[in-house]
Amino acid sequence: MGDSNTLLNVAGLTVWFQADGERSWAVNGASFSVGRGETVCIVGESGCGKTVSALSIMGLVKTPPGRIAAGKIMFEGKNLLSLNDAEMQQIRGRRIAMVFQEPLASLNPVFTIGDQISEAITVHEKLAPEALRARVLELLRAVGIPSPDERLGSYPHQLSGGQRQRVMIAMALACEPDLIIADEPTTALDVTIQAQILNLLKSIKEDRGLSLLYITHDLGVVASIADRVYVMYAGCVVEQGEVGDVFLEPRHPYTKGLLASLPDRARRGMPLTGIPGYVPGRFGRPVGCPFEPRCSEAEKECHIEFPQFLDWGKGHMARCPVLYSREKRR
Amino acid sequence: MTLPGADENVLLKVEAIKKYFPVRGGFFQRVRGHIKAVDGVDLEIQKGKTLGLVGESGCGKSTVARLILKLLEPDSGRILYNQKEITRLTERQMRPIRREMQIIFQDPMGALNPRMTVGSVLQEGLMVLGLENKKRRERVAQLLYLVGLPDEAARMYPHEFSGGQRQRIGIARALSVEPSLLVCDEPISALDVSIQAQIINLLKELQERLSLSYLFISHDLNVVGYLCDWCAVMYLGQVMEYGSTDMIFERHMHPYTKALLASVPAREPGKGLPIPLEGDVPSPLNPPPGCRFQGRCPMVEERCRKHEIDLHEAGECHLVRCWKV
Repeated sequence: MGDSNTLLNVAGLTVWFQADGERSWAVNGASFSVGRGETVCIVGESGCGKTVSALSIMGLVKTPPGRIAAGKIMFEGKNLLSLNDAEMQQIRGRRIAMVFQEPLASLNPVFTIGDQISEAITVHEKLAPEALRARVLELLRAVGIPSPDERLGSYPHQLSGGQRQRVMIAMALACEPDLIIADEPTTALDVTIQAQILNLLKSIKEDRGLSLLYITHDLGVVASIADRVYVMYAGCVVEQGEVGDVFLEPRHPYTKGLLASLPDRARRGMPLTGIPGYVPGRFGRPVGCPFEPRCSEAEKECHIEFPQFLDWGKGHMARCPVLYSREKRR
Repeated sequence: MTLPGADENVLLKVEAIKKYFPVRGGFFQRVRGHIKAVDGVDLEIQKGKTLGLVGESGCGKSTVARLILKLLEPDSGRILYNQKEITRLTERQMRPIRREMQIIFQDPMGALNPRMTVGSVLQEGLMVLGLENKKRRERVAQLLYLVGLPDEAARMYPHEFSGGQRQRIGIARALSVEPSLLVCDEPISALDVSIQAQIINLLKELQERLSLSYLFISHDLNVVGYLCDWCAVMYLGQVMEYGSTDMIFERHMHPYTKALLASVPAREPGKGLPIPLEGDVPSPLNPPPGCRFQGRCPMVEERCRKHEIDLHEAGECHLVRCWKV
């Protein structure tokens, strides 16, 4: 997606962290894009670089110890990585907003939610007190908080987990951004509340014509909300495409393994295929395919080669040495 | 309780247990109310089978587990282990039975002592059994093999392992005293998807090999549907529906079970968003009168608001707590 419909285009993003001694490569040349009005999911297990990718877009990677070593983050034709702090301030919150996993950790416990949402607005806009209050009420109503008048003066601890996440979404909406990045926003919530938040995000996205970059490890959430999906492993995108293509015809052995790991009633009595081994450690930077040590289909070239993406049409692509050499031989 | 199976097949039976936690505050720390964490729960675990306990956070799942293990004293009700009542046993009388019932926790790092090597963690239980030094070391090696860890693991510390490996250590520790019942309190919730599958496979394999019975507590309905033979759905300290897993997933009757299942996102793309259940779980400090679920129930009627209802039989091996049924 390189056309004018692209809102965000991340190319070759590489981020490492260095405490003392070895570098840990959190993101290793990841590329992804989000079109206008699109919902894109990044899915992967812990440590695969999905959160660091999101923080890089927001300019929230702490330097040091972190460092964005390479890549471009193009947002509406501007490279966000070349902006200074003041310019980035204009983008963050106003054009791109973020919703985090743990709302209690992201909300300030000593301010009311009314104050906190107001602050999110006044950072970018000067409004008269009455107008500000009206705006906050409208936002609370939009995210489905019951009796917003009374809730304005509540502190975060007085709300349930689902309501806190609604407040976080209200804050993200405060300045009418074009893109919302949601980093595991429902992971800490019960399934019934998760279903509420997913429905809320979808209706907000449609009503306001926003784009949504949704980061999760839950393949069920991906299947129900995404238009397109990127599967990440060890800092690299290994497969991408429309959600139907990736789920119904997974190409990369990792994607196949992930889908085969899911227990459900239909698989009762059969052992889960799963993926052997463990999620790789943080250090070192593999030369070949990062999934090679756990891959059941690995061949000897996988250790040294990590070729470019193979394309199966409609943007369904996977990056696998075995598939690549098979294709070349044909 | 009129669930299936002759009594000799039942390993553990729980009858109408209650646990209220006092809430103190104000002047002289007076008791201001009670959190009705578990309010009359009946359960049965059959030998060699798995009972799944599902429900949202705060519904009392973990409290039930702690009551069964007698880590908490129930306020009322009875717990029978192998047809013998253990509810009022003293600490000393309880000791031989403790060996029979073990638990694995959600967060294995929090459950393992960071200063003890895995070998000494596993040996602790064996010392209680009175095994001599050499036998203990042999048994540790056996246990590590059983859960799929290398021999060297005995000399390593918990922080040197990944989350999935730590959960294996937790399982090995629970198995060290050769229990019959394993209470699994959200054992895979903290793990990555690919690792979850490994631990589920391990639990299944161990169950077959050692004919273990499991009480499997989880909020993940997909896992419960895969792993459990029986299933109890809890809401605000009460069991709302109880039956075989097939019954619960396919022929459920309680509106809460229905809502819970509908809110799980489908894994096949194109099926759309999960259907949300409106509202939040009410506070267990002040549960609504009548049916506990009445405030969120789409089918609520007048009698649901006024009168409480007991679990009653809705079919063979199927119990439901709802006025509509």
